[in-house]
Amino acid sequence: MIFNIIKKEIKELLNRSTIISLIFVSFVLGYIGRYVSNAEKNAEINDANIVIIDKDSTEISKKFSDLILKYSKGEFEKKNFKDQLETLKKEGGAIISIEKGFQDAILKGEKGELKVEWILKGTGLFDFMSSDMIEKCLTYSKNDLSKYLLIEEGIKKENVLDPFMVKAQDLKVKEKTFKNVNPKTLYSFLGNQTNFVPVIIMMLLVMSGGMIISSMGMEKENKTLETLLTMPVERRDIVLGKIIGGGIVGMVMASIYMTGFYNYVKGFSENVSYMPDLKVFYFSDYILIGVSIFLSLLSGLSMCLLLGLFAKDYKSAQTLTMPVSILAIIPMFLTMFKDFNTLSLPFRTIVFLIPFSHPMMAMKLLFFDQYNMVFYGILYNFLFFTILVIILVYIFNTDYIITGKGFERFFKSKNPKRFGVF
Amino acid sequence: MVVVKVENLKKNFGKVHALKGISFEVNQGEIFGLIGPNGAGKSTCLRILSTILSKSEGNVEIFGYDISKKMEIKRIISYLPEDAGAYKNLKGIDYLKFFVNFFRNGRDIEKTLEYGIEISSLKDRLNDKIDTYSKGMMRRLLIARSLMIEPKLAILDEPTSGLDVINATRIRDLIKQKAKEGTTFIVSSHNMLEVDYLCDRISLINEGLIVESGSVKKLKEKYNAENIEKIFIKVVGERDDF
Repeated sequence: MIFNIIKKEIKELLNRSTIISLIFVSFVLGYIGRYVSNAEKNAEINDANIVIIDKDSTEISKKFSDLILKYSKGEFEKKNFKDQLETLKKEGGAIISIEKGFQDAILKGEKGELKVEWILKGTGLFDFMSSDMIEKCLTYSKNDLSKYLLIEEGIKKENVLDPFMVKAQDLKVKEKTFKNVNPKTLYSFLGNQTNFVPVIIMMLLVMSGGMIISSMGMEKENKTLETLLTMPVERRDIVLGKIIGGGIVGMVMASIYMTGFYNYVKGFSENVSYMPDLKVFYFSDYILIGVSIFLSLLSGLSMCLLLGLFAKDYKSAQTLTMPVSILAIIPMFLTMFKDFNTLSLPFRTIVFLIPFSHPMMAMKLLFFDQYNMVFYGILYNFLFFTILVIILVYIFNTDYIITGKGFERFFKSKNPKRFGVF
Repeated sequence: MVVVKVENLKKNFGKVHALKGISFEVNQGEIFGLIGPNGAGKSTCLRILSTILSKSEGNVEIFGYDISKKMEIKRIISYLPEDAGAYKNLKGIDYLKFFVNFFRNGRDIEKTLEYGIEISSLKDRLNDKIDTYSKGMMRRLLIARSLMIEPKLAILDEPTSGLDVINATRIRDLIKQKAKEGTTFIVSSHNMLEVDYLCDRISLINEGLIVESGSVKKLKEKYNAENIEKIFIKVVGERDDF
């Protein structure tokens, strides 16, 4: 019987228009990711549009001019000055003017002067990329000029500009020592390994939770619940059928969405080359993460179904995912900025009590071999889900489900055996 | 043979006494009408009989089962709520299949489904989403859902509401035919002509109490009325205390 309800939920919730719109969003996200990736690659390959006006016309100013133009676009350099200005207006770039007295100032031990006129074609992220490149060009050229000047002065040891290197570094955290790793590297490694879990949780909750709440809203709006409750099926099966059916639909939808999201994120991160191999997660670790996510999802969906009972219709149901989303956002941010172990006791309690915290923290906990905390989280989520299902089945067995009333007996009756009995 | 026995049935919603102690009996193969003004307690009574609401006091027996034996009762009854809808994102045929699966296994599913398709008379439209149905088509689908499983007791709240004359007549004839075959019906309707045409016996319910019961013929004689509408007005209108 429960499979009949699950099948119905899937058929009702997973309709063609929903899938098409999701695939469209997924495709657009993937396209944006690819666009960003290509733009970043182009920015790296083609360098920037730079026009040099050398007002000093000395040996050093010419040298500096040559050093900067190494980073300028080849095609751009071939153009005449007028065309270069037109291109600057269209594509952005900079006019760098080497001021008169540049060489004299340097030789006197003072600072040579430059004047930079930045030209931006817009104020978007990509529009600022070319100016970032030019700033880097100036820094590199400054270093190159310093080396040139040192050689000119007869100092042939270039290492005066970079006199030492960190040969070995160890990092100690939570009684673990990592060789040749600095805090920044560890932070970015953990970020890359763990950031996807909160996103998955949020996606699943918003998609599946929304589905379940909407399903209850539709049952009430279309007045189908009364009919369903007269079917020869245990109300427990109706509750579980709705949770599992909504969960499956949510997972399908989240998978489609996540594919697009994966391509989107990949677009931003694929040009980052260095990532240390700090820990290889075992297959059993991923199983634990999966179990943790699954149980946390079931807990979330049960909460959504409970909230769905308060929905009067489909429209009012739409706003009810908000409290669950907020519950997911709290641990997401708390664990992002602070480690669970370094939180104060009240915050630690709050984070532990929220069922979505556990899969979000699980990856980091496994990284530091804190398996006990992962198991406690899984156990807590299992208990949380079981208790919510018991509450839901209880409510489904009362008149409240039809009339919005029915708990008055709970407060009045002296005989507990009569609760929920028709 | 008495198949539905209701004794001193009471239902309270907090301080509101929806049913104040009603009693009636329904025989097998009978079409029993429960009629009354809005808010009289008809739907509450029907919801208790169909096991979706609990009783506060009294006894209810359906085909020998106490109302607390919900699963046994659910297997032999069918309930059609007054303003029921259907799952709009499903096709009509999927809607019928969903409900058949609760009652039938194997080959019986196809047989029952064919009967449901016949009752609905929606033909090819059953392959369309319910969202595209008119009110009348929706009601035909719901009637088909209620009767295709051939329940022992069918509880129908406003069975023909929203149907045109031709379809309403078809449904009424079907109910009559099924009653002859042994199905018991408890029907609630505001359409007194329908009640007159369909019901063997009726109970008039007002403000949670049954104020009159009997066969339609005898009540007409008793109140010297030519139709149930007049009986209804005389009974409900005359009693200021109700």
